[in-house]
Amino acid sequence: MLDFWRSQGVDTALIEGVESYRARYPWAGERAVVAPRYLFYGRRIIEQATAALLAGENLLLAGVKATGKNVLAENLAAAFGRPDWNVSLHINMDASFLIGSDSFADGRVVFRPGPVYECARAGGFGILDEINMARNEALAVLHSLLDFRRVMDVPGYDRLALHPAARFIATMNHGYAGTRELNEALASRFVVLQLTPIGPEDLGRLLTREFPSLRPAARQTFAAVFSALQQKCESGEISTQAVDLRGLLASLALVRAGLSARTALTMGIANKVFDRDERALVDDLLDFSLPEDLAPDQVFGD
Amino acid sequence: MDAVFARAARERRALNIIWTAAGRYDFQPDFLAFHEDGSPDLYLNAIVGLAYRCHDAAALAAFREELDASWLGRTFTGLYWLALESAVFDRCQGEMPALAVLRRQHAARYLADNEDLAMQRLMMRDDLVHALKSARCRAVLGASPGLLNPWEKRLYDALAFNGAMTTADFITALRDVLRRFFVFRYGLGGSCRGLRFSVGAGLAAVLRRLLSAPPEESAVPRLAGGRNRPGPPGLAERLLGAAPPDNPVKVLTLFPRPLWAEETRRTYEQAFCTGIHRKSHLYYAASRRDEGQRAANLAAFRAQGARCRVAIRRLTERLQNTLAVCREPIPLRAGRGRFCPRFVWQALYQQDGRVFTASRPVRYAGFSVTLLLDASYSRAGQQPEIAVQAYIIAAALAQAGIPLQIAAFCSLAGSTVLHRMKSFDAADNGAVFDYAAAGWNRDGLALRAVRPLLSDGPGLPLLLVLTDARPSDDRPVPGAAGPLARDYAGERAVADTAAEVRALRRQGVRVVGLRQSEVAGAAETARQIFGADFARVERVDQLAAAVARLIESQIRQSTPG
Repeated sequence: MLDFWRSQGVDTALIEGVESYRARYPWAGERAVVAPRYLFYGRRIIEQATAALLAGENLLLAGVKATGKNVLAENLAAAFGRPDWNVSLHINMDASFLIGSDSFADGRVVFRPGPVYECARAGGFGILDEINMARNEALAVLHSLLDFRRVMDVPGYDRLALHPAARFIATMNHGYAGTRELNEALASRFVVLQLTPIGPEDLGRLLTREFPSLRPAARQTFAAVFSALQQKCESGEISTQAVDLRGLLASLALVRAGLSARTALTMGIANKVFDRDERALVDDLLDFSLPEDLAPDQVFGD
Repeated sequence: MDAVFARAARERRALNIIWTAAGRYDFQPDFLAFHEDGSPDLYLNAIVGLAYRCHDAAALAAFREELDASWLGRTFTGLYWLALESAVFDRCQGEMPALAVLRRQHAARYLADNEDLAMQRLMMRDDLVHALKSARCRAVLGASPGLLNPWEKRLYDALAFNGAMTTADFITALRDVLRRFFVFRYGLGGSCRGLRFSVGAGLAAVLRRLLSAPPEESAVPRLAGGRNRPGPPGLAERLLGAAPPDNPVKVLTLFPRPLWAEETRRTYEQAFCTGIHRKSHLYYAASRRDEGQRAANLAAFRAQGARCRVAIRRLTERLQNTLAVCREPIPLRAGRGRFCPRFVWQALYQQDGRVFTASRPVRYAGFSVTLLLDASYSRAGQQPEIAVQAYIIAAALAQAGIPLQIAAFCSLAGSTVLHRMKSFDAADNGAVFDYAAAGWNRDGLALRAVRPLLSDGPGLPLLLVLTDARPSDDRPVPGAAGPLARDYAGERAVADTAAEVRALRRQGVRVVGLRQSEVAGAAETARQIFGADFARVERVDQLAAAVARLIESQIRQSTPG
């Protein structure tokens, strides 16, 4: 990961800082440090995030869809050489889901730790995905853990002290279905990075890396489709449903598997739009952007 | 309403194709292209958009206006589009793999659409342009152009412009073609002097018909909206609120259908027109007659159809989310969760391991919403905007499953009129486009008058008042000395309205203000009237968030625990 960062031109002092951190906190736990599936492109954002984590801060990654929030979080955990505990937050989640709950085994009540508890104790990177999906009341239990106190009382059990290597990275998406405003008390415990949607150049690099045999013309076409969807969404013509980077990558995988490009994009993107009028706009965009019979061999070379 | 929405959707599609092709959304094109059946023409709209991308749009528009103003304006405009299509396609086909396919589809569709035209359409068609366009379509499909007239053949070839042209080159080249083939200066500049015609015999018949025919729409239809929009209400309507004596005829002219029988109306009037409103009258209406304003409201909705849909969806999601969040959990016994010592004996003696409690969410939706719109003349400049905003709220609340009714109020000729546009039972929100502004707004009396409507809804009533927070009426407030009277305006009117809001709240009605006003001091008067429960709404895209925030606040206040 650090080699990739060097190739991106990330500041040498920051990379040395990460190496120093890794030397100070070598990971020796059972949980594996997973190599991320995707790489995050964006030198400036990587530098800002790294600086925040080296300073011991928790990080809140805010941005709309397709800005790479989770990819960046996983990349950071891998670069810092720590395993990540990824917690997808939702509306019905309560504090016990994060910290742990009582369980009954062998005739006695025992504490079953939750992901935040385990991450804090082991010194991992806790990724609180879509933090604004959860109710603020449920997250209040994390306040003492995330601020200068770095401790958390587990009622009925003990006081958990945060491992010095542990960091928390939260992600949030304004305006996503089911999200709300983050309250000030929680937001103040993070430093915030606003991520911008992936640009055409970075998207082109991503597509090339994921699909090395993608023909340059096809790469340009698919990147143009995605950029047009982003632009349409920013202009308020469509919602965020169709601006789906995962869907674009999945579509290319479908093309590689033998489907025509138009069919694959219909499955990967257009079919995710359930509003009839909005769907018509997306279909028009696809009709405009690529021929209906664009075959796999026209998209991928040898 | 379905037809209106369908038309708005088609226009939006055509616009989006143009914007997509242009790569920007900051302009309104002069032309939208549709097939004979009304569906958007993907290819021609793409050409229009690509022209914005490749050329100087302002220069082309000026040139087009020049052509349009000439004697053969309709023909020349048609030839302009033929030339532009050729140039833009030639330039962009290399970088856009779908363009050639779309062009073939367009050609096939054009020829099919023109096979069996009705006589009326044939009379409207420009034969020369159609002949050349058909020839190009046949060529695109791989056939012979099929032109027999040598003059037309030469013109056809001359209009095959290449993509390397700059905008200036294009204009110069087309000027040259028109001069060569039509042998006169087409530019009028307000004068027809010095024109010399010298055209072939075949074209002469075309010219005769063209020159005698009244101006028709261009081959590519103009963008709808704006042109037919009626202006603000006229002087007569303005004067309706200018302190005339009681004149029920005027009220009945604008609101022809009463909501209730006269006896019921009189009962409410006697109950509510008391105190400082004792010289006023009340009228409950079930309909509003202003077709022109309704058309303008619908045109505004069509013009921003996609944005409205997005706003409706966002508001719906936000409301559904709010309802989901503010639920009352029910503790249930479970095999995991929060340990509950009083169940332990059952584990030991009954082998029932459910010694924990877990929460099951319950939806909370025990309220109904009444949207009350200020419809006084002070809102005359915002009528379409308010109607559109009201529709967004209405549609979103309906989709979120929250019962809703919509009413508007104004004061005319001494009567405060409450017009119910949508009842709780009605499924169609389209009646909100009947919104039209006239007269004054006696807010205090309107808030009294709305009470009977509130009781129709299920659960606790939530009253959303879209207002400028400036109550005023020409019907004076009876003075303490009897015949002396003072205006219903300013602090007195604000205090009266605030008192009515408080009275409603004492009766269990949650009253929330949606202030839409740029007037200085409106925030303060809104605060006096509504307390903390008001929000400022400026633009359509702010409305969703504002309403969601207010309803969220109200639901939280009413959620037990």
